[in-house]
This record gives sequence, structure tokens and C-alpha cells, in this order.
Amino acid sequence: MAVQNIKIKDVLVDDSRFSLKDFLFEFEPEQTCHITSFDAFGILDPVIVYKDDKKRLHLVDGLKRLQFAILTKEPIIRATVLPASTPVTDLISLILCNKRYEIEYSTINKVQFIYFAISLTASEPWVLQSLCIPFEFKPHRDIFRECERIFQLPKELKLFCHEKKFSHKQLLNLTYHPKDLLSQLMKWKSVLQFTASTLDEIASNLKNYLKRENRKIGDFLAEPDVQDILDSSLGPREKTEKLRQLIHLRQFPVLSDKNMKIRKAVDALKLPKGVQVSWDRTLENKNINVSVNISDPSKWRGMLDTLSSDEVRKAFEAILDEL
Amino acid sequence: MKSEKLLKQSSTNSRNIHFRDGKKGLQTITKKGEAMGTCATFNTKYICCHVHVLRSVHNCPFECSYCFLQNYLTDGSTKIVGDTDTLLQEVAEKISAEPGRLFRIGTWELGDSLALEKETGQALELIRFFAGLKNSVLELKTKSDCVSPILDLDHNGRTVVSWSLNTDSVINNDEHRTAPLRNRLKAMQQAFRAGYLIGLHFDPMIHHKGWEKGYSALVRRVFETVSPDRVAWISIGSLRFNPEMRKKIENNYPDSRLTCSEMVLGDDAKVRYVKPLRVGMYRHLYGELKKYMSGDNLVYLCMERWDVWDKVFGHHPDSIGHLDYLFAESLHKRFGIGEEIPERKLYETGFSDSNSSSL
Repeated sequence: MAVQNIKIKDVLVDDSRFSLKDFLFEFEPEQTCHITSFDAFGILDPVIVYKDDKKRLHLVDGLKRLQFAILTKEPIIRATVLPASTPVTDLISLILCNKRYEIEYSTINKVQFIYFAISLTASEPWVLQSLCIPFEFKPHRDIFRECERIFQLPKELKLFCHEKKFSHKQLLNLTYHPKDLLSQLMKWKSVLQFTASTLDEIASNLKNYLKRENRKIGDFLAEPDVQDILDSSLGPREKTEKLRQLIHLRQFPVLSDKNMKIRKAVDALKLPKGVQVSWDRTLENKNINVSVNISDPSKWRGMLDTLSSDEVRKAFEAILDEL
Repeated sequence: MKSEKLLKQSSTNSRNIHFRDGKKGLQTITKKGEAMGTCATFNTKYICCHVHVLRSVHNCPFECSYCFLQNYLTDGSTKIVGDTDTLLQEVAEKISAEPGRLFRIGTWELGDSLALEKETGQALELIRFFAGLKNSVLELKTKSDCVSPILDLDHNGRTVVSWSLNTDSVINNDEHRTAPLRNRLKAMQQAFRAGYLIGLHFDPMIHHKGWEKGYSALVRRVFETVSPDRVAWISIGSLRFNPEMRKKIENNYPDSRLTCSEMVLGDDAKVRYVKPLRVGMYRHLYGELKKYMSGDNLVYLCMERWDVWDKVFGHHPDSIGHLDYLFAESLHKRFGIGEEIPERKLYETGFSDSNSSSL
């Protein structure tokens, strides 16, 4: 295909049909070496543009070359011009080839690229076969609805998910949370320390608690306990853990209360070191596990005496009644 | 099939039909493979009543937000098995293999037993068939008020017409397109007057604002409608669903509050209310039932733990087979169903005593 000189001002960049601006979280400039390369050699390869039916030129590949040309006040750039008849799937494949590493860097990027392909009216069977399978997504139509849901997440959250490399399932879970809650989570980002799982847990429990109690996120923020945690001098990790526990307590009041009672009953026994009492924290299974860890044979008798005492028996009976 | 011309026939591939779209039409299909089996999945930690099910209908015109069908059916279209004779032949073969035991057979596992009766006439054929059986009882369970087609039949006391019952609040918020409670109760009264035995299913109980008053009023209204003497059995259960259902419910019914309750994952991989909440609800409902029913009424918990039975009733059956036997014993003693006094060992074969190991 012939290379032509085209006027830079005629090229649609951000408005290009093939711009990935809203569909890809790209690497930071320091992760690339283009500027140094341009300084040394100038622009070696032509950019690729697509000429549509109305003769408009859409940039397909070569954003950094074009930006460098603009920076150096070049009026013209060499370009390979693809005709309007070029199949859209060929163009998507071309972009994927050039950007594969960045697109496949995170699940959110892969999801956004699928949504990009669909927005360019690539056929669903082609997307399933040519994108979903290589991206290791299920090649089923449901993926389109899921990608759309994920794409609608707030941009700041999507960027966070990109940085933390959220999985497809984790991304999808986020789509079930209300927008105001997700925005609040992003506001907390600077003072708390989220992993994918803590973010998901906090979001799920907080959503359920607020919905059940018919409350708004503002009501929760105004709770003194919440204020205390957020205003405390604790580090981000400790603050996150405290807030996580508080939200868990709000969402599971009955469960938390029962477990606390059992914990207190066990603690009150002051069992010898090496004796562990555990139970099903979901309270579903009515049983207690008592384990004895012993290294000194002389302590065996004492442990048995403690465990067979009336006090321990009564406490275990009371715990079993709670379960 | 009665009214076959009324059915919207379709031969299109319906695998991709969304469950909600599938509720708009009705297909007749021929029976494929076994249609009769046992309900639910056995799990030694939960007591199942060991009812048998006849899968004669797939999907349902109603839209309960908690319905497992929205996650279960790969083919969302509503289908009814058209060749009832073949269905009944399978029933006849299976029950004749164990002539000494009583079978309870329900048609409600994958749909509503009566909601489509005016279009299909299927229940009518089943009632007539079961009227002639000695060791089986048919259970038609519904959330509809559609009983008029079956009122004049000679059912011979071998059909139990059951209602899934809930408070007005739950029906309004989470049982979309079903008959309102007053209509269900009116239909129940009609079935009762037509001599049918009645089954009551307070399942799924849902923890909602005002649930105590709601369920108290529900029980009162039920026993203002029917006499406990003609109630064959009463089940109590609470909301439970597979974890994957949570997203389905939130997606299909965004206003529903079902999924935001205090729930945990059980050993049968279903999410339920935490045990203290369940026990509280069951105790309350059972306390209300005791105000109206006689000591002969058989009340059971659906898919619950052995220790939950103890907390609610003060006892539990010795095994799943034992509970099955208790049904047969109650039906024989109270209504003369089954030719001979049931023999417990016939019901307990294959079910071990699970008291100690499965709590």
C-alpha cells in the first residue's frame, strides 16, 4: 500500500473512530522510550490512517509519532492511507497487533477493547472468536452485556482496577454496586489501602447494609464510629481494617453478636496455652472443635483436668446452645 | 390435551430465550427421559421430606424474584409435557415397583402446578389418574387462584391441592404476577369445599419489616379459610438460593431487598439467613400455627438442619426416610390413604440415622 504525505491538521486524532483514548489505560511515558528514539532518528515509520466515505482521515496507528510531529511543528507526515472499504475487523486486528502488550496488561483493558470493537460494529461472532478466546474470556454472548456493564463503571475506579489488575469476576462484581457507593470508595482511596478483595468485601457489605436499612452513603459517613476511624491517626492499612470490621458488624449484627458472646465465653475460661477452641463462625454447624497442642508431657494431666472441669463443661454446653 | 388449540406452538430453538421472555408463550413437548424423580439434592446435614416430583412443566408464568428458575433453566421457554399418557405410564411403573409404600408426587419442581391449567388441562388428567391409585398422592402446588377447572372432578381424596403462602408484603414486592393472597385463599376455600385435601407451604419465609405481624395475620387468615382437619401437611422454610442467584436477583429485580439480608453460605452451597434469624422466624410461625391446628397436623421444615428442628419443634426425625414414613403414617391414620398401615422399614431403607454425625 502506497505511502502518502498528508497534512497533519487533516488527521482526526482524539475524534478518530479508532482512538483508544476512552478504551485503554496506556503505559506512563516513562515506561516507553519513544521520545528518545524520535530525538535520535526522527520519525522512521509512516503513521496509519483510515479514509472514510467523507474523505476524513482517522488516525489508526501512530499517535506518538503524530504528537512528536506536532511538537516539532511539522505540517506534514508520511502515512499509509487505508481505503473506506477496509473491513473494520481488519482495522481492529491491526490495532490489537500494535497494542497487544498494553491491551493484555490488565483485564479491564481487555474488556474495554472488546467494548471498543463492539462500538465499531464488529460482528459478535468475530469478537467472540478473535478477541474473547485469545483474551481467555468465555466465548458466549453474555460477555457483551458484561463488558458493557464494566465499561460503565466510573473511570477513576476503572483505572484503579487496571493498576490492581482486577479479575473479570471482580470487575463484574463491582458493576452491581450503586454509583454513589463506588464514588465514595474512590474518595477513600487516598486514606485507605484497598486490595481487590477488601474493596469487593467493603462494597458488598456496605451496599447490603445501606439497602436493608434504607439509608444513604451520607448517613453512614455521618455515623460517629465511621468519623472516628477516618479521622484517626492510624495508618491506611489499619484504618481499612477497622472500617472493614465496622461495616461487617453493621451487615452481620446477629452473627457478630453471637460470635462475640462465644468468644467471651471461651476467653473467660482462661484455658491453658496450647488448648484451642474453635467453632463455625457462620453458626451453621452446631459443634465445637477443641484441639490440644502439647510439647511437654508433664503438662498433659493439667490440661485434661482443666478440660474435664465442671466450669469448662458448662461453658461448652452454653456455647453449643448458642450454636 | 385440553385446549390444545389455545397453546402457542413453537418449534424454534429456544435455548437463548431469556427466562422472562420465555414466560410469554407456551410450548408443548414430548416427554424425554425420566420425568419422575426425588426433590432437591440430598445433603446429610439437612432434612429433606423425600417427596417425589413429576417434571411435567418447565418454567412458570409468574415472576417471583427469588425463583431459582431464573438461574436454573438453560432453555427459558415455558413448556408442558403434552403426552400425559407417557408421563402417567412412568408413574405407574415406578410406584408399582414398591407397592407397599406411599408416594407423594408433586408437579411443582420446575413450575406452578395449576397456573396454566386453563390452557393445558394437564392437572385434570393427573387428578383422574391418581384417583385410581392406591399407593400414591398427587400434590398440586400453586401461587395461583386457578382451581375452577378441577373443582368438579372425582379426585377420590388422592390429590392434595397446596398453596405456597406468604404475607401480603412479600407477595406485593417479590411474587410478581401471582394471585394476591385473598384470591389464593378464596381458591383454597373452593378446593376445600370440593373435598380436596389442602397443603400449606409457608415457604420461603422472608425476613422483612413487620414480618412477625405479617405471618401472624397470614396464619389467622388461612385458618379462617380452611379447617385444619383437612390440611394434609404444613411446611415451613426460609429464603435460600445458590450464591450465583444473588447477581441474577439484583439484575432482574433491582428494587428487591431479598439479597441484602444477613445471610451465610450453608453446607449445601445455598445462601440462607443466619441460623438465629431462621429459628426466630420458624418458632414464631409454628407458635401461630399451634393456636389453630390440632395435634394431628403434620408440620415439617423444608431443607433444614437437624438441630434447627430441635430448636423449633423440640425433636427431629430419625432419618430422612423416617420423615417420609411419618407422612405416610399421618395420611393413613387421618385420611385412610394407603391400603395398609405403613411399615417404617420400607421407608428407611437407604437412609441412615443422621442424628449424631450431621449436626
